[in-house]
Amino acid sequence: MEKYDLIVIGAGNGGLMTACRAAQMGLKTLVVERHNMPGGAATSFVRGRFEFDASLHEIPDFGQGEHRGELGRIFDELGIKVEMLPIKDAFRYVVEKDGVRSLDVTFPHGKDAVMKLISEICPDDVGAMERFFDAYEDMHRGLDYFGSVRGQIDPEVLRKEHPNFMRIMSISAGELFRALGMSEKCQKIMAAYWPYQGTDIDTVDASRYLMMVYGYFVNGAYVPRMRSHSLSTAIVDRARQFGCQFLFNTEVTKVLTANGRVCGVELEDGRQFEATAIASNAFPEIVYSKLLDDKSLVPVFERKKANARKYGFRAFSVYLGLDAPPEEIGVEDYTVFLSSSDDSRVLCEESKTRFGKEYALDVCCLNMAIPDCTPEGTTEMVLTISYTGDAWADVSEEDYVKVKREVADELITKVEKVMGYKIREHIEEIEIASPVTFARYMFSPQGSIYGYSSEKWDGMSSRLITSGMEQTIPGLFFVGGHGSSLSGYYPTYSGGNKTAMQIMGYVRGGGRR
Amino acid sequence: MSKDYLNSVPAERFATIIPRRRAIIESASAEMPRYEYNVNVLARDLHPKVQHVVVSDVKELFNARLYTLVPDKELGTDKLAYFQAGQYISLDLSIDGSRLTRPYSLCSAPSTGEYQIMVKNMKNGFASEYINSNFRVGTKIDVSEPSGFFYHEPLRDSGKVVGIAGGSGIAPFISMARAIVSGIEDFELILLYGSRTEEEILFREELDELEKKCSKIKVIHVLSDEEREGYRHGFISADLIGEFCEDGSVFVCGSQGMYDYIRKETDKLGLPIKRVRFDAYGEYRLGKRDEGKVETGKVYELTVKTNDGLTHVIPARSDESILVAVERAGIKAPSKCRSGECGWCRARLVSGEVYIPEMTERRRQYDKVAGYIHACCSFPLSDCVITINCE
Ligand SMILES: Cc1cc2nc3c(=O)[nH]c(=O)nc-3n(C[C@H](O)[C@H](O)[C@H](O)COP(=O)(O)OP(=O)(O)OC[C@H]3O[C@@H](n4cnc5c(N)ncnc54)[C@H](O)[C@@H]3O)c2cc1C
Ligand code: FES
Repeated sequence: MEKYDLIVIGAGNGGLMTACRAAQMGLKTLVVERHNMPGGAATSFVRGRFEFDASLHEIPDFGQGEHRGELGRIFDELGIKVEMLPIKDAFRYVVEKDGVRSLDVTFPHGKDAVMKLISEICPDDVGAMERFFDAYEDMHRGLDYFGSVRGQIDPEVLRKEHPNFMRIMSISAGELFRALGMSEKCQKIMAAYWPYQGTDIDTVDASRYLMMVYGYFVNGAYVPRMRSHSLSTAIVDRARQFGCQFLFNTEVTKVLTANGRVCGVELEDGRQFEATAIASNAFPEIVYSKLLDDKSLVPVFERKKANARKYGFRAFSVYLGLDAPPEEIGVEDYTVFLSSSDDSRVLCEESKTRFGKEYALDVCCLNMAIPDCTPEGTTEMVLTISYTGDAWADVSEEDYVKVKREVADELITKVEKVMGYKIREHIEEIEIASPVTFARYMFSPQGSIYGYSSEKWDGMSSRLITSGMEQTIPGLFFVGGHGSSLSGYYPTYSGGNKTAMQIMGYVRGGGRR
Repeated sequence: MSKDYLNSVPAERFATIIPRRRAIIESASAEMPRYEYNVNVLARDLHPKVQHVVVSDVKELFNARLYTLVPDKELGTDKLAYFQAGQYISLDLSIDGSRLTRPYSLCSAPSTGEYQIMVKNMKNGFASEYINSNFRVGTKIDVSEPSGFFYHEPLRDSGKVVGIAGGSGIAPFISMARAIVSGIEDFELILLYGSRTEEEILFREELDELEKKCSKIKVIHVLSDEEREGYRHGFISADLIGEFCEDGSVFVCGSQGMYDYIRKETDKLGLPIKRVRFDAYGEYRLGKRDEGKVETGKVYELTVKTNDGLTHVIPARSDESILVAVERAGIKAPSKCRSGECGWCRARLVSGEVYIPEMTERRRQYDKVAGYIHACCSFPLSDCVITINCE
């Protein structure tokens, strides 16, 4: 039986980065992926003259030059080369209800530009925004300390040197805004990014939110020239150069254990491979309840944790290939956050089902970052909404296409009405992805694209602080949106990278029998 | 040093993070957690990895046979996946040591719980001849999930469709017409159906009946080799299409020769791309337009690395796709559309050169620069090394 140091189940962002880093450090690594392609959500598909990104809108923390971010540095270190292009503005945020537009603001990238904008639209908030950036610095210093002692914190040092870090880690983004003294208007504007976190602004951790917004504002946002498929494929090819092996079109059907530790996997064709460590890009409940050969090994705490958790966003996307150039469609922005309310709590509540009265829509037009991403005279655009509940549980096989179409129809109507875009008459290609589609390609429970919801008790702070304490079966590691770094391209990549180091320690240390 | 801008938040709250987390987790159920929900089940029902079917009925048509396929419960397929009228399934075949697939459009309406496919007798057709001389009631086959993008999408297409069918290209339109009659689809379908002679018209009676039953369906027969009363004569030209299409969408299914011809005709009408949709191109045959691009009569050495860790060194003819070479060697390779569009046959070209006809170039942009090919429409120009993801 072939023996590996590490077997990675699933080639999504978390799995790929774990594998690439592990192989680079010299671990004998195998990746097994069910689908015939790498990437999970980080993939693309072709329809007619268009190639659509299945999931990616933008990546923070890539950066360039002096603003090279952490993710950019990870790619550099590993020698993964992908052409990335900057996105000009951060986002345009439009709130309109019944024809009344209460907000329409375009946020730029770059700290100076953000401060200039704030001084114009919320002059009283300049101080609060400066404190917002200070808060990021304080949090970052705290996290650095935290990392340097590998979680073995000295409470005295923490209290003395990182009091603001302690405060930030214990509150929500909404509480942070208020504590910084932001005006109501500024709070609302600053809350615009909430859909990227999957929970409302009073639930999502201040730490997570600060990290993301700061990353976008200061280091800017990037997209790969050739869709996220180029990221996934480039990581696979690089990992392969480090000696990593890949099996696509192959399902892991069992996780094998011996002496209370994981020791290998079994594939659908019955073949077995030995492994010292296993990194699962599949959700913990899939490993625990389906794959594990000895279910009694799952610690009670882990079972309870899986049951206590809620799923993150379940997305619905409409991919449009339009046969007219952006100026004819009327598009001017890369990202427009369009909603009927500026209250993220209300929007989250109303997004539990397909029938909510309020909506929050994300309109993304890739041509605004990459003008030649489609043939001349054409445009591609993706409309996305997200559900906070299991909103498609009631749909039958027979009705599925009809329901998909109805929801897509509604979204197109909204965007046309509010933004004045001319979409309908130009649709040359359309593809619609529902939570069912994401469940099909990612195998995630309920089609979650964001792992577990970042609940107050289960946000970045709490997952980070407890990451070394909550032990599962020895040798088993989880990477991906459900892991300790939470969801999104940057967190899953950087989380995979970090987990690979832990795995290295495990394998080189006591793991080997 | 930290500034004191957050003093309204007590730093002691930090100490509550862990206890609060523990308390919530401890109060949850200790059952094994659920990992599959309705949405996951629906995804699986709509897109099964494989469907085991049995032939339950065979009908002779002119130069073709019509097969009815029902779920093979013995092998664990309880029901067949729902589909959209116009989609195809891919058949898994094992013939004389070759492992191959062939796509066939579904003719049945989506609601019947069974599939129907029509297999035309092709002259020297390798798989079609095998199917039509071997399949009988009781034959068991594995087929793919329903696939393909040749269906009516009201958000994109006109409510009026001019369907252009050549010969056995009628199959997806039969499904659409049946779906319209049973109320599953709602659009007007004007079929321009080209056959050589009256005798060769497939589904003649059913088409008459569907037309009678439903005002949304209209059929115009066009005969190329015969002049007869009540029929149009000749080819389905721009003039004929123009007579019916106005603001409608044009859907085309037939032979590759017909696709090339119709494309020219719809260009004459100045129809935008969005209004003309072709079914998958089908297995690409090298022809005149490829002259000078490939050498004829050569056999190259193809090294194939497969998922099971094996390396096979096999011959690859210059006039056949890499996929066909692999299938001839008895290696089971993933494929579905065999037309370049589904990407199922994606393989990594480790070394060597291939020719990819422009008609079938539907790869992702990055695959073109990173050296990934769609094996079904890549022709070897030298000895090659590839890796494929066998199922
Ligand atoms: C979306 C779609 C829908 C379709 N729907 C229909 C339909 O409804 N009805 C219908 O009749 N047809 C349909 N077709 C066409 C159908 O799939 C087949 O192409 C057709 O039946 C001819 O197959 P064949 O094997 O007989 O042809 P062939 O021309 O014999 O085979 C094609 C290839 O097989 C290779 N080959 C030859 N010998 C071997 C060997 N020993 N091992 C491996 N490969 C070998 C040849 O090199 C050639 O490239 C459809 C095609 C598509 C793409
Ligand atoms: S089989 Fe579909 S692209 Fe090759």
